Amino acid sequence: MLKKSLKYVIIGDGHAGNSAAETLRKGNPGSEIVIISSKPTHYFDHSLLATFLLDKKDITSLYVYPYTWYKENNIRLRLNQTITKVIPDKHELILAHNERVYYDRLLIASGAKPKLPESLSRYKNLLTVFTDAVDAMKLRERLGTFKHVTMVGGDCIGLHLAGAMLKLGKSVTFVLNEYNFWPLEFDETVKSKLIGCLKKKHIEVVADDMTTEIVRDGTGLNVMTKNGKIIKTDLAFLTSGMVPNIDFLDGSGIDVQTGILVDEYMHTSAQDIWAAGECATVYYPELKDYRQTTGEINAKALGNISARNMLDEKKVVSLAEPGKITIEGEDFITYGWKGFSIDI
Amino acid sequence: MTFKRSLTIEICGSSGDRSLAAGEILIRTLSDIGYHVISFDAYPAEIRGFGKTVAHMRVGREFMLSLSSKVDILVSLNDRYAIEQLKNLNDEGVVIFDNRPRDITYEVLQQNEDETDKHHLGPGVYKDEEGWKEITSEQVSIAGHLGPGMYLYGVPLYQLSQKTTNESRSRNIVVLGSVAALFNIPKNEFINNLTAKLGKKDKSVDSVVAAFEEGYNYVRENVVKLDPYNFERLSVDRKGYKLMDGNKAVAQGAIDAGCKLYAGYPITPATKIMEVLFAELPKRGGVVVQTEDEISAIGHVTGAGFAGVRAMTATSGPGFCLMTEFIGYNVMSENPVVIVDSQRGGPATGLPTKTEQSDLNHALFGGNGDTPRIVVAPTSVKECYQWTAEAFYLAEKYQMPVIILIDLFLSLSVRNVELDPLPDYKKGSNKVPSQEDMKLYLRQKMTDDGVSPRALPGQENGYQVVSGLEQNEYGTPVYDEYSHTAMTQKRFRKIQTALDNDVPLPERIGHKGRVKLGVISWGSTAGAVADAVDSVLKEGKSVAMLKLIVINPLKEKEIQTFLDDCEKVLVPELNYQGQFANWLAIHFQKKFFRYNKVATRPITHDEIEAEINRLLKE
Ligand SMILES: Cc1cc2nc3c(=O)[nH]c(=O)nc-3n(C[C@H](O)[C@H](O)[C@H](O)COP(=O)(O)OP(=O)(O)OC[C@H]3O[C@@H](n4cnc5c(N)ncnc54)[C@H](O)[C@@H]3O)c2cc1C
Repeated sequence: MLKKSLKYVIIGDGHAGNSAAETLRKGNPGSEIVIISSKPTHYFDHSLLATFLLDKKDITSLYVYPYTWYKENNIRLRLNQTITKVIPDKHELILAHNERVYYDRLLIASGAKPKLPESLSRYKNLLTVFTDAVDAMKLRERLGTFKHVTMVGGDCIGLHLAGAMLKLGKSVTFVLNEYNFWPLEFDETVKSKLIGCLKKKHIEVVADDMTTEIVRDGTGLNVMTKNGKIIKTDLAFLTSGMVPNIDFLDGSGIDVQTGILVDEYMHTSAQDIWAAGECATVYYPELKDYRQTTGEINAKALGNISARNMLDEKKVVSLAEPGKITIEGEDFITYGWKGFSIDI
Repeated sequence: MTFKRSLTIEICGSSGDRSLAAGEILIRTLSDIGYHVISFDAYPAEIRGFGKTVAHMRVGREFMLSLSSKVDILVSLNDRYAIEQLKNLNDEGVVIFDNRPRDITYEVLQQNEDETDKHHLGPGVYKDEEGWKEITSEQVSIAGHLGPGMYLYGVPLYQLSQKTTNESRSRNIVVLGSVAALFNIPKNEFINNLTAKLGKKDKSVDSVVAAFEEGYNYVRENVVKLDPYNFERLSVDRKGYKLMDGNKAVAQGAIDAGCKLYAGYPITPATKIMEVLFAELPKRGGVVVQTEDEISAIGHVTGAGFAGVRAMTATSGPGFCLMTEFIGYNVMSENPVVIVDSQRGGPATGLPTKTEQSDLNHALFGGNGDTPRIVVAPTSVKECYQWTAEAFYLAEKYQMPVIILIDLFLSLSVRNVELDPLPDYKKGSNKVPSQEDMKLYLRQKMTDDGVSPRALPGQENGYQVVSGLEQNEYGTPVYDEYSHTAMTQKRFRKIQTALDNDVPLPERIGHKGRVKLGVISWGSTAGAVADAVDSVLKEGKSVAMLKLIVINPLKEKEIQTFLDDCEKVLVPELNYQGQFANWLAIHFQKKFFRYNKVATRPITHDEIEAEINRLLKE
């Protein structure tokens, strides 16, 4: 029988972490539940980030729950605290401020971070990221300072952001390389349809090319491509897809590939540790293969399944329904995103 | 500052973390940029000085007289202690902590003899009287103890302190830099106050300023501010304002009133009065005597009073008890003395570092026989100044003891105040004998107002006998019914004269005319009442307050009018018996709703507000 006094620790205050916490609380009302997040903000809805740029709403308008929800559900929330190490043998986490936190059962739901192509690592400081509520807050403060933006690479975050930029009267350029438009179902037909739609929206698309260099030019930037194009721009966004956020697992002995490898029960290779959401590479029995997951729908579903397994149920993971992204009235399929329209 | 009337800040550390010094610099700076401040620090109870130390300050745009129960910003220099303070933090409060503290090693230790020492230790296994106990790292790190609506900001205080000053003790300065950056407090004022506090102009000052800058820059570069609190500079001129606590104000009042002798024996919380006077009185031709005990102290003051010199002693409950015999002596011999009693928790040695208002009975009634005396209780730091000066005037004019009742909270809480200069007439109030009087000098001459002309020793023909015995007009000891009755009446007549001529009308605040609820208060609690009444008045409630500073004699007619105006009357005070409510009940026929606490801390405005609202609903 499941012990009532179990201490569940969840790394990550996103869709996966919160969905798991809710399931755990329902399934084991007497247990201790702790969510730890390196972000200072609360659990927020990423799909609102673009429209957040358009108005003057408070950051709390992005939050999914009021903080009182955590009180009511007796979930301890530890924001703005980063895990630097996991020690499975001791059932211990080490935090950046030297604290050691014990767990009985651990869920890693640490999400993903923007992928920085090796060739661009030198230009990290010149690239702007748009992945969370703080990025959106900072960008909103700067809206008056730029007119043209360049999306370095093609991903759905870039598309999402482009919708808001257009609405704000900014001009947008995409520099696409051979990378897929993460996480769209992508092939040549989709690609040409997508480029056509973007052009209809007066977005400049530099296709089949790639960014090789970024240099400062006065207050702006010059983005240079492999084919010799120089794009004069005010801001360059890093939109080359996302990679699992799992650096803190180095040396932990937990098996990882792109993300944390989990079986069909969302269990990792280490005892009492599960993983869910964008940080996990999941074994889907339907595919008889592993797949990297992304998107709100996936994260919530996987968080829930992990939690049920942490409650000693035996729940097998299944593929989520695909979502769609709409551009100029055309739909594009994604495998995990809830979907959005850039026709705002 | 966004939003509310005030914000409360705490800097919590272990003694040695220098949190009080940081607090002092912070309130000075906030005062300089236009805010009203009230600080009230908490020290470890032990004289040895181990344990928790909290610099506590309320900062507001508007004038305030009391503390709040809740804290908005908590700065932790010692997580273990600061965790205990979290229970007072608002649900949306801010915590600043050291996010790269010294490496904590897991220790296995026998607990030290000193209980409080365990607070210096990190996680580990300890042995105390109950056996071995484990203290985990989670238990002693504040980061895991916050409520879900609170904001946590980490700054590597230890690392930045080491980097700039080669020691960890400057964490308090690093954190001030962070506080400045986080809440947009102008940096220059901070640095000015910092260097003024350090005093010396040498390399160590530069490194401390560097520590401040590191804390400031770290926040600017790394911290995402999400809380709504800011202290931008206010456009008000507070140049004439001085930061002082009640003790300093008492000492300043004494100096400005022309006190020339102070005698006292050190006692918490009154000691600082003596310390200030030690530094200041000799420069002005005065004398300070640290006596062997409180009996000797009041003896000195009695002698000086007899010699025609304005003189004062200050003490706390236990010392005040020892002075009781001399109170009677000065009543009988009609001699001016000023006694300050800064009340602390009692009875006996009681709670030396905790505030209370429980010496009122003793101040009003202490002593044998019928012993009239004037008792005044200032309600704010500014009034500590005014009423100390006033006490000298009254003691000299009415030739009797005047007791100034303050308390630990008033004594130690620092505020920014603007002191009004004293009117000249207050500086000499002795009833000087006329030439006629000196033809046949009667020290205890019967007069209509009860006050006899007082010749000073050495004055020609002013020869007099002074003792604690009952006397006739010559001062000669007598024991007959006629003389004792006449002299007792004379002594009480002086009280009536003082009441008619020198006791100001009690101040009424709030609605005029009939009200649902009236609050009468005294001493430092009156500050909390004034703040609470101000709040409920803004909500349109039918409330008024009567503030009494002179507790004896009472302005009965005016108090009666107020009582008649009130459907209900609340009397809040910091003692168990309701000593002030009892005093009022002797004089007035009215039901008094009491709100008594012996909470070891001042009553706060929000507690009183809650009580007012409860009584209004009942
Ligand atoms: C701009 C933008 C728009 C998007 N729009 C959509 C959309 O419209 N529809 C859709 O379905 N999806 C959208 N997504 C994707 C979706 O938001 C993510 O797939 C989803 O949030 C993943 O959830 P998660 O719980 O796995 O991770 P996250 O939500 O990213 O949460 C990760 C958590 O882990 C914490 N963490 C990470 N490392 C540490 C550490 N070392 N220590 C402590 N805590 C740590 C983080 O602080 C965070 O709380 C969007 C994403 C972005 C960036």
